[in-house]
Amino acid sequence: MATGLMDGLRNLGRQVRLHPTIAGAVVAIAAFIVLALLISGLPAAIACAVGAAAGVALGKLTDSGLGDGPPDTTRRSPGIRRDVGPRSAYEDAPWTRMIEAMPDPVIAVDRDHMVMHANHAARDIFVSMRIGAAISLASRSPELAEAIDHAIGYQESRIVRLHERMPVERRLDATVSPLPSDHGHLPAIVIVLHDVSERERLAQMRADFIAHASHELRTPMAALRGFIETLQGAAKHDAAARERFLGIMSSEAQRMSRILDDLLSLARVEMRAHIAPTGRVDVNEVLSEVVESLEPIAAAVETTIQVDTPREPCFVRGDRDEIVQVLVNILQNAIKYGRQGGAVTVRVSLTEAQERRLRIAIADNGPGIAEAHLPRLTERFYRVDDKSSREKGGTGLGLAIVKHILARHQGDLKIASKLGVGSTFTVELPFVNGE
Amino acid sequence: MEHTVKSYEAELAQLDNKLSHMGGLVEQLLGNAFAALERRDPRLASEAIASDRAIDLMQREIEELAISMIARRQPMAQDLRTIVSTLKVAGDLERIGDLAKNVAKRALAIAPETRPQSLILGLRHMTELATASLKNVLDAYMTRDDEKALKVWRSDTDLDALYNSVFRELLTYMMEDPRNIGLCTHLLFGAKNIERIGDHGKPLEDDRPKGDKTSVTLIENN
Repeated sequence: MATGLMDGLRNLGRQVRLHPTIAGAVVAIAAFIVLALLISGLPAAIACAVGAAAGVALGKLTDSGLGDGPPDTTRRSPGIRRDVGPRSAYEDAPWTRMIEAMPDPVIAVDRDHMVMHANHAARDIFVSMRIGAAISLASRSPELAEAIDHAIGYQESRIVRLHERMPVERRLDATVSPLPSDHGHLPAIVIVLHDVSERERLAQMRADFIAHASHELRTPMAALRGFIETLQGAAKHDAAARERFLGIMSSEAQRMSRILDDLLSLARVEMRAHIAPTGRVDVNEVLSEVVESLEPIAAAVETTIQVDTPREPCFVRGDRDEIVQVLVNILQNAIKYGRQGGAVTVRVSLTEAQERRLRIAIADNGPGIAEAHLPRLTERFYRVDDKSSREKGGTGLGLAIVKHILARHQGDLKIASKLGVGSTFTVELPFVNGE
Repeated sequence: MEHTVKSYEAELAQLDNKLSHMGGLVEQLLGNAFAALERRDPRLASEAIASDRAIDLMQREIEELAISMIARRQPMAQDLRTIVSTLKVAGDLERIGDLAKNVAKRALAIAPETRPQSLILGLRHMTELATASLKNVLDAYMTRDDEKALKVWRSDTDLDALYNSVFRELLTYMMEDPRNIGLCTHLLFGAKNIERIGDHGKPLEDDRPKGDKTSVTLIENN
């Protein structure tokens, strides 16, 4: 801080010291005017003098007055100061067309870290990247910036690992290579990216799976073993107890297989988290199918499901099976944790914002969820009430799966709840026009 | 607005670039600090702690450049605002770096612990939110995207609510089993640091009420 101030003052001093030179110039101009007055007529002299003065003043200013800052790197603001559209200035150059044809993400930058061109695959990954702006808009990874500097300084290529955490977690190997050319119209650096998310995630998944499976399956497994031992011993000839125990054992076994199913589908969703969905799904159509499939469960607890959707088809960009799973998981919760004989309502609407999103609100009139739990519901194996969740066959993974699917779809989940009134789970997905 | 003097614009751009670089360092530190805590990895924790120095240096560089620009250029209006806000953002980033460093220090302290990993899930969730808002606010600043910045500003209450919940959860674990107290205390401080990061990630100071209620929370022992 102190050094900064000192520097500032020093620079200020340099500015002031310039003044004598300017003063000298002014004296010279005055002398020139007097001389001109003596030689020729008045009007010509004035014109001449004004011109000279302006010239001198301008020269002074541009030569030294303001030009003694840091060396002009021509590095421009990565932001708004220069409005750069998505089109590249080098769009028609052969090299950009070559980059564009490559399947892997490729970014070409100049000596000042400005993106000269990036191909389609790269633009898909780095949504905030702008052509003509600094590459730091795409990735602020310190290693990447260092590798670019290294490539420029030493003409050596380097491979760095990028870890993007948003909007989806993604790991990329970036090969940063210099192009040995001083030609201004060619990129100084070419960055070729290779997505290694899947490989990394596989390793992580294996670890998670083992940890969770062993932890979560241990409880029902222990229960099963207890019942088996009782049936082999004390309750060997008790027909009533046998019947009851077998019923519990069967539901515990079912729960175990559901946990395994959910762990597998969570793993599947996680594996694909970095691949954007390409399909187009009509939410109305999916919804009616889902509601129909859940009617028997709802009828068993005397709950009614009411659906309120716009008449025209509502399309979202997405993977049909995954959208189905989101709706099933949330609706199933609403039925399971709502009130016996309650009402579940599903309301589909479009948001008014510029970027239109489809909103699906699923509300129940059950006991509601305490505020302290709301932000935690999407964490895997987080249960509001361990006992009630187990009784109802919950796996603790339903909403975690929903959250991961929505992240992949650039969607959102909002949860609102009031004790004694009910809970509303609202899903938002990017809306696409049905063409 | 274009400036007639080219190097002035170059300096403004340089200021942005330095801030962006500093932002990248802070993002990396936060990521590493939590990874060290989650994996109980003392080496990664030490690396993260050491990297805070680079952030401090970068902040000093930004301050020097900004102050010398104010002194030499006497900027007005928009430019002055840009320079001053760069100073403020750099200050916030430096604080976030410190808080993330504190998280890494907790990682060093709990490295020998063998308690179950499930205790840390809440912190992981908090870190995800904090990382997201830090990234969004930096992206918003670099692209001067007001709408995005406002969105981050509103989302800070999410992190506060999450912190309240994690706070209660950790206290419950401590009451359940006194052997958890050591680990949970460190995790509590870690959570507090992450919650504070969310406060600094806000684009501008504001008078929105704080959502953090832990200072008045008492868990009944029954």
